[in-house]
Amino acid sequence: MKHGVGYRRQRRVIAAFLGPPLFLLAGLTVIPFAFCVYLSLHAMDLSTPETMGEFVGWDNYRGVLQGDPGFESAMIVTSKFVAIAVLLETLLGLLLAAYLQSLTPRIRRVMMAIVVLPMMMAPVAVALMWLFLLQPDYGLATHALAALGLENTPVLANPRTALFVVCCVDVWEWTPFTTLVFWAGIAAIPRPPVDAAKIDGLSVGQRIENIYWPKLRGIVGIAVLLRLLDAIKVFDIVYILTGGGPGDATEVTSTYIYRATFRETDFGAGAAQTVILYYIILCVCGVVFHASQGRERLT
Amino acid sequence: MMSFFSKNTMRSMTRRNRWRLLFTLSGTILSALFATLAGCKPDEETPQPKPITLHVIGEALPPVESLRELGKEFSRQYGVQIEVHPFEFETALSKTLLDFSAGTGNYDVVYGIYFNLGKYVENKYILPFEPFMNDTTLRDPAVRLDNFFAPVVQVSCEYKGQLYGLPASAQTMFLWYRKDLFSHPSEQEAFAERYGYALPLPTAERAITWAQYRDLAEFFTRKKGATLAGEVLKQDMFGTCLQAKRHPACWYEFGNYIASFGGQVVNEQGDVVVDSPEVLEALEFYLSLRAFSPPGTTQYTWDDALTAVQQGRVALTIMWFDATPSLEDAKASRVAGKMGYGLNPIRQGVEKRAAQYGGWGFYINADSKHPNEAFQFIQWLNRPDIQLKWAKIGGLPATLSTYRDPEYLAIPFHRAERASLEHLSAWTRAPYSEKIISKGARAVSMAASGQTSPADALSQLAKEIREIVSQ
Repeated sequence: MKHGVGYRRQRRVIAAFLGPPLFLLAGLTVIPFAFCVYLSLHAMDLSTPETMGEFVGWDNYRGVLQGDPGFESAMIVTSKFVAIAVLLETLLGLLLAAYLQSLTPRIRRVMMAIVVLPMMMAPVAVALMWLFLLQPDYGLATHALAALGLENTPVLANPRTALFVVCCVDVWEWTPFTTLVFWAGIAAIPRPPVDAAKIDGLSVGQRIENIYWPKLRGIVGIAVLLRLLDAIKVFDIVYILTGGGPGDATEVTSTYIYRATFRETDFGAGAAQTVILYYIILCVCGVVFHASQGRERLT
Repeated sequence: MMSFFSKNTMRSMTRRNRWRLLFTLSGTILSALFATLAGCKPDEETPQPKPITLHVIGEALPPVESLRELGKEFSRQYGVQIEVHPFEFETALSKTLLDFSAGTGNYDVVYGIYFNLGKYVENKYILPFEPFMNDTTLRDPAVRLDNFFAPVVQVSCEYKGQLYGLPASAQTMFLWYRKDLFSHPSEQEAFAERYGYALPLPTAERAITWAQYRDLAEFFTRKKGATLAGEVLKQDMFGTCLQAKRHPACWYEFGNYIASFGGQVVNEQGDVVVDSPEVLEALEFYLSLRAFSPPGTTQYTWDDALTAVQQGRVALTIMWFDATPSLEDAKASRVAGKMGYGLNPIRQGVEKRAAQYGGWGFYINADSKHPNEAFQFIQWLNRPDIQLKWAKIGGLPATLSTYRDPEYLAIPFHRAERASLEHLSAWTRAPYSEKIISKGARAVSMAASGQTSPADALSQLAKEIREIVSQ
């Protein structure tokens, strides 16, 4: 099909407007990632300056995947963190969204402002705040636990509870996000089918199954995907609350990579771990996206 | 918007509107140019040179923070401004390394931890000191290498026989204890009755044994409501305080135990021996002290340990010289004036005195634009008269002349530090040192939190260190 002069001019204008942001995106993401891949294929360990910059092929990847029990442990801890945090954020988000929808508009506006407060704080500020609250000697939360009969329970110092507590801090911070997304979805559901279902005597469970869930499925998929991406990359709250300890109890992939790169100054190994993590995130995104899109095609 | 600049639109504009558009665009561009150039002045005939500013990076503790005040005196004498950038320990290390790697030269003078000396030298991040020391236009005869503690210079400043800096702080870990509690007659009586020997008082000349340390820790661990030194406790009291967080702090602390139990990480033949029976015994003893430590001890670093002691909740512990001024600051500490200081405990039968070294050196960034001025500042800080001045406001001197000064030695913790410097125990300065510290901290933290047994922790650590050393 031959395009006219107007079409070609339109394309040029579009390119002119899209060019700068695409250039910025390439500069801030694609090029750094390409450099990361480059680093992962070279020896970049400050501990062995005599081999600095030498091309080593897949050696860094082999070292991570075959000879590094710490990375494997970090992946397991990250998986646990993601599973607990995302599941709780999704369930609590749905419950809160349903609750907000049941309120009158005036009260809903007030409640919404309160609900989103944790999300407005910087993650570092959130982590520091909880670090002080959970401080074993002076923390308010520790004293509250003592009042409930749990004396001397330093939850962040105990390997059995530390990861769950870190998950709870993440849930506290990000449930407002899932709440907002789900509430937007619920609010967009047209009233007539809902009213008709009530008149027809459908139970709450049947209404959820036949009306709410089909409409919310896509939105839930997107919210879960976004939270999955964030949870897999979690760093700040873990680093500040526990530093990855006690022992390996809360060492997630990001803190492990940080330690390998900036503490042990092995930039090549750190880059290889980063590329592996990126690949895992890509696969997870693909699965979740495909699952939510696939169901939409079937419906 | 797309159609605005099209040829057809321009053609259809009237001549008057085209001139208006041109005028508006020109005016906008000229205004922007004027606004940009407004601050520029024409060159003067004799332009004034900007004063040189030296940027110093280091750990945010009294030795570095006091450089701000001391730097003003240097500025008055030499006309060079000093800007100090103090950061938390790990942040200071990261920022220094990033500055070196990027070659930006943001920091001229680096207050660097001794165990990174090899890494800095092998990667050519810092300048050798010999050319500056041999330059008669820069050399200050008041600064003599024989006026320093030789081990401190060897560990913090020399690498493969060459000098790369001068000492910035000479600090070790030594024993802190509550002298007021140890000296209380009722406590002494109760201790003797319970353990069958007199309550030992550690000093800078006489070390207690680890068995006595454990007895003291057990004796002074009491619940809220119990009596201590004739008063009813309003909070729990702990005999000691471990720094068992997964952080360099725990590896440093454990280093005292390794050395005094007769163990090593790597022996003189280059063999990794961190899984030896001596080190295992040291770790098992170290972990046994958790029973007398605050509950959150597996999340404590040196900062948390300092706070616990300042709040009067700990009877004795092993801590850093550079934290001692904060302990004796009445505005921040409830135990100011109540503390005693002594040598680290010794292992009966081994009788080896050891104090974990944590000193820093002053190095010159290879990318510094003012290396001569940086050398002058470092050298000036190590003058005997400046060392004494600095010591009074937070510095940690390495000069023998300072430690001979009666006024300086009158302060008890200075005597303990002086005695400890004679027995310092330091980590390797090889480029891989930080890797060993990271792995070591993990091993001790795993054992302290019960995730693995002490034997397994050391066995895994030995395997990891062998891999590191073999590279």
